[in-house]
Amino acid sequence: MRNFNLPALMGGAGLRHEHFDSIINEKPNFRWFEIISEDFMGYGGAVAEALHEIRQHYPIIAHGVCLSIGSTDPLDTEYLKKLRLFLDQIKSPWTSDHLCFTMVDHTNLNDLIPLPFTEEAVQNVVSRIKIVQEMLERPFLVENVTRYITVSDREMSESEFISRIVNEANCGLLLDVTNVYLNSCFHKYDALEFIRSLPLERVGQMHLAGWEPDSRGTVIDSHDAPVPSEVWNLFKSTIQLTGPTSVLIEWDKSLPSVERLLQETIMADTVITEMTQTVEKAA
Amino acid sequence: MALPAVLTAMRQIILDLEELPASPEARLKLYRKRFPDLSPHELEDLSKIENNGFKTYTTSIFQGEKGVIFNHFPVTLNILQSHWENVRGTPFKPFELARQLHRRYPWKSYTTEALLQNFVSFVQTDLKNIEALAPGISEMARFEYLIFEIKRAPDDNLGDVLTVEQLNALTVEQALALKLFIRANVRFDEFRYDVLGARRSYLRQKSTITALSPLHCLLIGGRNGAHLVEWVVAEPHIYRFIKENPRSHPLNLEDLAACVVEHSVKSAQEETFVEFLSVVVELMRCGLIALKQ
Repeated sequence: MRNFNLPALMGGAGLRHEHFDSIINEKPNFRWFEIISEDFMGYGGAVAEALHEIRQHYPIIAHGVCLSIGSTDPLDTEYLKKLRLFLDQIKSPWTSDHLCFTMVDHTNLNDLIPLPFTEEAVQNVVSRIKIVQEMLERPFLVENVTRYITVSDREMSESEFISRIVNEANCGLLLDVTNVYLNSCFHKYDALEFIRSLPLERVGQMHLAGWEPDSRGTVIDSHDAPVPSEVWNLFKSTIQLTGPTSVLIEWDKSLPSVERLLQETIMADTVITEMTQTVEKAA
Repeated sequence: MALPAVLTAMRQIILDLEELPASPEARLKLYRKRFPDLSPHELEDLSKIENNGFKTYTTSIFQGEKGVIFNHFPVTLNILQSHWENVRGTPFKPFELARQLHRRYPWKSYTTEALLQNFVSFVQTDLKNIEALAPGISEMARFEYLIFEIKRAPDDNLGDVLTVEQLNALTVEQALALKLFIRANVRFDEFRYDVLGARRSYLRQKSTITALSPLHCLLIGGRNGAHLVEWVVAEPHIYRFIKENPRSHPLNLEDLAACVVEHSVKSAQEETFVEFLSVVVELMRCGLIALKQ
């Protein structure tokens, strides 16, 4: 298995409201777009119309932020039904969400809170992913999150945690290369070794993003800057391990122009092509 | 093993505990008392986490919620800010507002609607001292929430509907035979203050608003053809017609006609029909109703 048996769409971009008009009117050469499911599902009006129009010309992959797959609250089946309807409407061939929790005790934490790397958390997440996959009836990927804390690595490491989950749930991995890089800085480990330790055949998509430190110089996974060279370098090494995939440029704030965003996706394409050729030549 | 207890503890640390002790030992003591369901290992693991780590999440969460609220309640917040320090004795801090909102009305859903509804409730119940200085602020919060609902409401997919030009080309008999649909995104409410005027003025001039003018009005809002929110200041009988009838359900245009005729002050039939037609056109133009054959 490679790329979790998904099509490798190459470089894509996050679809933002501010770019709707340019994309609809000028049809720039993006290969695909990713949307945040909860920003669109169940809504009508201008947003729905724009999405419908863009979908006529570009593949769209839905990525969620509210599934809270790691929570111990009951799975929100009403949310999953709405999501399933939405995914069918936009013909998203796969979908994804984050390996974290965002709600517990029916209270929204409105952020991607990391889980303890424990057996209990593995089993909880695995059982929930299986239900999600049954309800959504399409490939499902979990994304590794940036974590500013280590809740517990007493029982296992993060890479073992992720590997166990995707293998036992038989789901895919959305490998956020930026998140791996940031976590390697925060928690002092080798990013590429971390990536090598994952079941890379299950990587069906990647994310790349940049960041600007906040006013106190704190590094936050802010998605408000171009992808920095350190992450491009890690991405190059990663592609040599995985082969071609679909890679999303996440640039959600301090938005660039459509042209600038397109350039970033073309850079991703170039890296994939060059690194794939390098591997083929070496073989 | 107590994963639910660990996640609950993390929730409380991130959202509810404003000050954490500086040392791991002091945190352990606090957590042991506060989270009796955690095992010794779980307590130790959580207490090892430096405060900056949890604080990063706290900051991100409440900044995010503050951003959503400011985005959807610009005029309400403008009024609030202009009175806050006088009434509360402390400077207005948006982050603290989000935190206070969480304390009073925790966000219990993944939906944006739930957060916004919480804010409306918060303004109504917890800011009475500000309302005393700025009467109508809770109405403004309600009004701005309706704007969100109108913008986001699902489409009703009625298919081909008549344009105003097509309506004008019909005979009276043909027109009165039409079916009328109140659009799915229509919202309405009764206000005692000029919320519509104040919001329009604020969006044009971005000036500080300290008070709303008293004005009793019945407002009906919808999405026009360009998906923009439009409002009609309705006569009571039109408001009642909209309020008492279901959305997206075929009604008879002649029922609306009867309603208009009943309340018309025009004496001539032709004048009454012109008045009726102008009501229909205004409701169509603002996206409140659609007509089909």
